[in-house]
Amino acid sequence: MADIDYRAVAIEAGLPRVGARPSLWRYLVDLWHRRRFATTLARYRLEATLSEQRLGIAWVVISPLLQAAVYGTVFGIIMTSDSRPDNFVPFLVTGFFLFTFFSQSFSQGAKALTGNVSLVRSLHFPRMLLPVSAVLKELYTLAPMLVVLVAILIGFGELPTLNWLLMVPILALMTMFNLGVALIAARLTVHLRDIGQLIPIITRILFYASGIFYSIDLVLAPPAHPAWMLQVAQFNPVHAFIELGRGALQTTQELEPLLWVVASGSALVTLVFGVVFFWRAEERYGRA
Amino acid sequence: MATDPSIETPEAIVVDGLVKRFRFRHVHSLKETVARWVRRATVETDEFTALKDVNLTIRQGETVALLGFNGSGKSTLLKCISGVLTPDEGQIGVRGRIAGLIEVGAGFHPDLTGRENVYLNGAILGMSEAEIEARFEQIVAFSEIEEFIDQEVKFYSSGMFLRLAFSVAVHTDPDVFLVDEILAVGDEPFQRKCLDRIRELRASGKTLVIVSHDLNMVADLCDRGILLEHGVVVMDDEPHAVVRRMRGEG
Repeated sequence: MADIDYRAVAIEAGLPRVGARPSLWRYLVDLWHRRRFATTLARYRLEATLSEQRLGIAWVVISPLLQAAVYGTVFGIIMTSDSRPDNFVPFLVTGFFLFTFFSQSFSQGAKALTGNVSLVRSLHFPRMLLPVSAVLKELYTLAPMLVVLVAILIGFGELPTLNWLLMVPILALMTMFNLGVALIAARLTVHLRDIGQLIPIITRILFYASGIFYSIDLVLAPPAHPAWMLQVAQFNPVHAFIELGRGALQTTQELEPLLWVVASGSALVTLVFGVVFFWRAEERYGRA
Repeated sequence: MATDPSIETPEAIVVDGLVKRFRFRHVHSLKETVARWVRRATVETDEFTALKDVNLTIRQGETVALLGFNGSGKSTLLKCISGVLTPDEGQIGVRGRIAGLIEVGAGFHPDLTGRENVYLNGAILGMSEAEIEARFEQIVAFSEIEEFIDQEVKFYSSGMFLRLAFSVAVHTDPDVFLVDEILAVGDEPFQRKCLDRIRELRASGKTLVIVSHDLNMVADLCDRGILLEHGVVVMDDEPHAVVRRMRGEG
């Protein structure tokens, strides 16, 4: 064959390198251009999982409600009543629904790449679309849960106040945090499948540490436990989102300024780190 | 070089010193892994070099057949060109939008309907919603599965699946079209239709790279044949001549 300097030819012809990881900015622009894929996939997936069951969309709400009822009853018997705040049912349901949003984003985000191997191996597209779509699906799932939550709140005497509008920034921050966690989990799972086994355990620990069915402020109050325990527990971002949600929706709960600091700080740091962390391995996802 | 009818056109694909290796890590039990780690022994890996220093240029408007027996590296080369696999050494440059039928229907979700899959697949290939909308009728008509378009794809026969996947891919208006062994599926009338569509793409100046074991068909379809053997380009010529060599006639 003729002796050709292929590299020079490519440079001279101005051919872009195939599969190259673009700059972060270009990557995000490309992601934005294909956002329809993420939103459409999220919507279709949700519809598809629901259409298989007779009760359809009702399960989105029934399942976490039943779980909340189980935990509420079991721990209502086991734990002393001074671990629970007043108007316990809205407290429990708000906590459980918001926690479900986090735990589902975490576990589904972790599977976003490993569960779509054939797609990743046969088409070239910004891989970040997959975890983004997984978190979007969980956000859509949250919508009917919020409707039921409103009914429960009103049923238990928590009438709408202007504070309810605070749910918009709270959920925006929580979505940022969840997306960051999903991106980190998605990349780690590609490198090490074993992470998938750890996710339910991490979720369980967070579930017990975030005060879903008891009040951290009441249980970890200083006389019974050293003061640092409560302080550490309050730096758990998942707890912060749940407490903010309760503070916004229930007049019996308070909105502490520290919670806003923890929530917005963790949302920003997790999202920025997650995006950069995921983007850096962009060229390696097709290999696994 | 090969008989090149279009020496004036610019390069569409340049492959420069491409090396692609696959590593097989032996999976050990946890005990062995720990023991190995304690002894500071390195992880044993088997390496298999699928492509060894492949260099080639393909010009715009060329229709190229990648030929070779099983395991010669054809599909790996195609996946590298499509950007799905990253080369271990060397570089590949491609001009324009690439569309590939490499794993047929890989972007299809079985739980979704044909219609939903068309929109999703179009979106992932970078088409806007308006573009998909405008071509939707055409895509469905080409696939001939109008009455099943609102059925979930998991109920499709393999032929219907292939038709829809092929139809979406050829309607994305790619500049470079990569086809891996897809014409083997589908009945004869549909195969003929696919071939007609490929000829249309060729006539409109698109660049095509085709992998197939149907040697007579690709030799007739393409104007250049590249023969791979054990990851090395051994012949680059008029496709019928390459096929004769493969059959031991040349």
